Amino acid sequence: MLQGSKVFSELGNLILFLLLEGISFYLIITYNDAQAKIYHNTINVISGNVSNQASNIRGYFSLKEQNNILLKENAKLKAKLFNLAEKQGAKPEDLDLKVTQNQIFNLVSARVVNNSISLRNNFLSLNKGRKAGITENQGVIGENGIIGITKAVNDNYTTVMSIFNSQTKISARIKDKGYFGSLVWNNNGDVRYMTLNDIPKHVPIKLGDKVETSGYSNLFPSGINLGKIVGKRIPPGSSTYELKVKLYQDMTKIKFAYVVINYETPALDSLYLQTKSL
Amino acid sequence: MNLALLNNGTRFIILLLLQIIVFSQARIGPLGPYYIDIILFPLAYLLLPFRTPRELQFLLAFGIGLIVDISMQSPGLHAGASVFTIAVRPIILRLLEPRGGYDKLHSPTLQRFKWPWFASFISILSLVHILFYFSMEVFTPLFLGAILIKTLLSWFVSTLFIFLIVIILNPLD
Repeated sequence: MLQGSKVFSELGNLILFLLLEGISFYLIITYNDAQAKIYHNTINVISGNVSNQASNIRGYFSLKEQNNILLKENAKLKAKLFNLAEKQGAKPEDLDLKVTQNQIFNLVSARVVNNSISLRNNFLSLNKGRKAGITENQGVIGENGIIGITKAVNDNYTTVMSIFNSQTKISARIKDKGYFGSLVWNNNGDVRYMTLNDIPKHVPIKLGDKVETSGYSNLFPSGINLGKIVGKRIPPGSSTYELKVKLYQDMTKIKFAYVVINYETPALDSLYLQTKSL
Repeated sequence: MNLALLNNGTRFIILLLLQIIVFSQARIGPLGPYYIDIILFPLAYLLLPFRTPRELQFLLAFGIGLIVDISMQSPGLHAGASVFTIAVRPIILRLLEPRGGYDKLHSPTLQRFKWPWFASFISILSLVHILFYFSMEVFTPLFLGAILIKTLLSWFVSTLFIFLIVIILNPLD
């Protein structure tokens, strides 16, 4: 008698219902801050365990290669440290790697257990969390550049907003020239390049100029090499360059990451809050 | 047929305007964090005629929910709740089915049914909408208490307002 007296009289209706609820759910977790955080945290807990196991197993197959990379990096760092100490006439005990009162940055190493690069807003997961001293809004770097910014943290896992995310904006400058701008990803699916904006057009830019972090955001130390300029153009009507930057880091292959802990952040933040309330 | 289109179209527009311009502006908060949202736009899709194609019911509910969402800056919350509620509507209609069944040409309005039927129909389905809405708004079962308190308070006030609107405007098929 009554049309549609069953909940779903046809398969099409069921599909339409699921589609509309799917769209709603997507909107909820994309455009509402609180819900997005809860969602990422929950996914983190669920997928973190699974990915961690998978990554553990996969890890065995590339142990040797990873070992070599780490050894090389370690050696490079040690060499740098000793050279620096030599230059400044430091005593051997100054080379102790413990956190001292004057230290600004510390690094926490973690393994990447989950990584996406094909979406418009990409995220990664790390296998360390609050227990290792990680909190929200800390920078994450890799061997050859930066990886992203921590977004959600629980006790054992961290979700990182990748640099390949429409919301990520990194303060970067041109090496040796000092002009700084913001490095963004233009969502074109190509993870080899990013765009450096806001450099005034009177600045002489050569192709091949190197780009590094500026250190203005207190998320990242200054001077981390990011990539080099491979294309420049000034959009019509604009007074700033749009520079194409080729990244040194291959985000499709990263296995390890370092979270940058900045001991000055709380002090800087409280200062910033004071300024804002003026 | 055209009359039904006119009636329902007018209803959608009036309820949308009332919801966005008047009721979404006033978030009542007598109990600290447990504020009350007055949500009466579900009346628009709940009163759709029985003969409305299912697909159209879903799309209309989603559409009106999305417009309210955009005005309240809560993308997806009302849209999801509306689609869920319109999906549940046939179950409630079957539960409340009068002895002679329904006339396909009618709508579930006060003009066609008596107060007890109409009141249970509206209050059950607005509870579904508001419960879904606050579940998605709080978004974690950890705060089940908050979800239930907000839902009950908002449901009580919203339903009263819906009845008031129905008495004043007396919607037809």
